[in-house]
Amino acid sequence: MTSANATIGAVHEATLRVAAQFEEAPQQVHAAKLGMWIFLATEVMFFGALFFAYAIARVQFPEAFAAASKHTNILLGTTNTAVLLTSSLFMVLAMRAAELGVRRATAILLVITALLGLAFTGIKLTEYVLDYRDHLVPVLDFSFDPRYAKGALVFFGFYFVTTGLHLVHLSIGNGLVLTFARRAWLGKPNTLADQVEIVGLYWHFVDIVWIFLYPCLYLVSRT
Amino acid sequence: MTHSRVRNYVMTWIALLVLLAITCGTSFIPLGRYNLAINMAIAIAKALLVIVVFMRLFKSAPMVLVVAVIAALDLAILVCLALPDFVVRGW
Repeated sequence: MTSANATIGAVHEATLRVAAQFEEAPQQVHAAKLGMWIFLATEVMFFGALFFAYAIARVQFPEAFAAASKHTNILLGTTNTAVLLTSSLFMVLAMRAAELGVRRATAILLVITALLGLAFTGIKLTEYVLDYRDHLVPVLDFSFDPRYAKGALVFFGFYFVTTGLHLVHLSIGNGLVLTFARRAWLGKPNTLADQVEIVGLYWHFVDIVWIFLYPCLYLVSRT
Repeated sequence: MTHSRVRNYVMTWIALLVLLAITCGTSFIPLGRYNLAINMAIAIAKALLVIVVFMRLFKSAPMVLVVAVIAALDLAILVCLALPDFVVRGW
């Protein structure tokens, strides 16, 4: 294990191109990982603001949020949560395979991750179609029990904005994962482990956003 | 070593799915405000599992931990600054 890591490390140092601003390869790798974490910190602010606004609106329209949440599709929503959690498992396995230098396995695990990401996208889009059929899309076609119409409109505004932004993030993640799956398969870079880890950080973060969206949108009131 | 790590990842995944089942299942039981408490506690637990195990927070460089903690604190500060505005206006 230690010697395997040392070997991988040695290959690293020999072939990694170090940009002018870095002293040596490990420093560059450290900067890259830290950069992704800082980016994710800004994403916390971005999604945090949405969750905060959601909380304020929910306190204002508690009954309407409860009524509106009952109209979300809990079966598809829960399935999607499980799909995304599973994709994160394959992502972390790909990270491990890349660390061990098993390129083909890394590529296959990344492809499975991306397929699960695409499955999530497909299920989510199906849900959008069903929502449209149920007249739940603000602006386009929205009608709801008049007692709760105002609050429900706010709820579904949040529903589409947050899940839409999440889907955009997931699609970017899918593109990244497939890009690195291809690179791993072709055996291009020797920095694969670090690159896969950085993509993995992003992927897991997108998963975490969904972990919070799920109870906020699907589980407000089911009783 | 390798096997134990992979086993950790798989166990974490199972724990995540069990938590998902609990949060989904309990939401069909009328528990009043405790439904919200359970849902939020489980969401936080799931997020922590992902951050610590899948994102390897504590195995990363110390600077990464600093960034993660500052992100959480920043969000808390901004929420604490913004919240009184809504409370005081009495909307």
